[in-house]
Amino acid sequence: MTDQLLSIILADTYTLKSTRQRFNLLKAMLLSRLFGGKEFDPSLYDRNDLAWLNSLGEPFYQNFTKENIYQLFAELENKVKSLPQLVIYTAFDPGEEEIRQIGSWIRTNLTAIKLFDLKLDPNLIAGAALTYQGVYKDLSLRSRIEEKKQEILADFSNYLR
Amino acid sequence: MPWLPINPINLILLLVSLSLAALYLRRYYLRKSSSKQEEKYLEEAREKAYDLLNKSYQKSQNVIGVAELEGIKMAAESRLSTNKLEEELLTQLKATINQSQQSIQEVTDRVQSSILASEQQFRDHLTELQIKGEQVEAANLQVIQEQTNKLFEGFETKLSDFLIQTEQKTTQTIELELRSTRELIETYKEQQLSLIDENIIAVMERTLSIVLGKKLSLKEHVELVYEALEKAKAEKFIA
Repeated sequence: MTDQLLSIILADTYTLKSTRQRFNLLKAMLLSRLFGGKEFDPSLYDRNDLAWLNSLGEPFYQNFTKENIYQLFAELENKVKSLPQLVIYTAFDPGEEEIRQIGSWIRTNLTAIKLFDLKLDPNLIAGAALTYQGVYKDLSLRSRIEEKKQEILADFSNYLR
Repeated sequence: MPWLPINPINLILLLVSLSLAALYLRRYYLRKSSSKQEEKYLEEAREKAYDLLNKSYQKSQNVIGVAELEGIKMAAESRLSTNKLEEELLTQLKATINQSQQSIQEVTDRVQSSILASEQQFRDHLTELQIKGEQVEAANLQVIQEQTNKLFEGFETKLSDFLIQTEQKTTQTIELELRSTRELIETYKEQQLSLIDENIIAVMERTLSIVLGKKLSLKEHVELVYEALEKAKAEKFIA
């Protein structure tokens, strides 16, 4: 059941950051719905996250009860932590659409990866650098320039001499 | 006033005085050494002395009178002789003066002529000196001219040598400076090129970062990310 719930949650969620945000949103909404108390305030949350929440539907909410809500969320969080971690460093700040495109590509082509983390590094110039299982690999334009450094210098020296 | 010659009057007076003095002294000694008798003797002697004195006085008066007469006579005689002498002397003096004047005149004439002669000699001598001086001056000028010419020639030669040496040294120094400056420039050039080599990649990266950041679209960026992920997959970096 946890896997099923997780796959529904992650259907339109690609990054770790948005997963945490949506977990918090879902939990706040369900706790308010199940226990009352502090009223759920949608204005505190991102519009896209709210749209995702609404898209889950009533059948999804009914999986959570007063008895299992905390346990389920704990299991869901543990599941997320156990997933392979990929960190992508980019030279630009991608929007939601770009994140969706990258996430779709990853889930299609790199089936082991369900979620990834995005970080900004302008020094990469273009392309991306990756960290996977604690190993960093620079596949950006910067690393390509470093690889071709001697060739580039030889080309420049032709102009200078 | 002419001096009177030594006359007997004074001698007589002198003798009289001496005798009186002797007598007095005798009496004094007699008085001294004797007693009453001596006093008597003295008295007698005194009386005798007084008597003698009187006589002497009278004699001396006589002598004085005679002497005065003689003196007057002699004075008159001497005055006469003095006058004669004066006249003679005057005559002689005039004669002497005339002679002296003549001789002075002669001497003056002689001196004048000798002075004229000396003056002429002196003028001649001066003329000679002037001529000689002009000759010496001309000779000195000639010598100075020759020495000056020699000095200038020597100076010219030395100056020319000095200038040539200076030129050579300056040229050498300049060449050395140029060489060292060229070497410095080459070294600087090499250093700058090596600096450029070290930093060109960083400059290029920075330039690309600035340029591509503005020129690449989001789609192109995403495609480049796809390329990186594909490469990671191909290299089996991601399982």
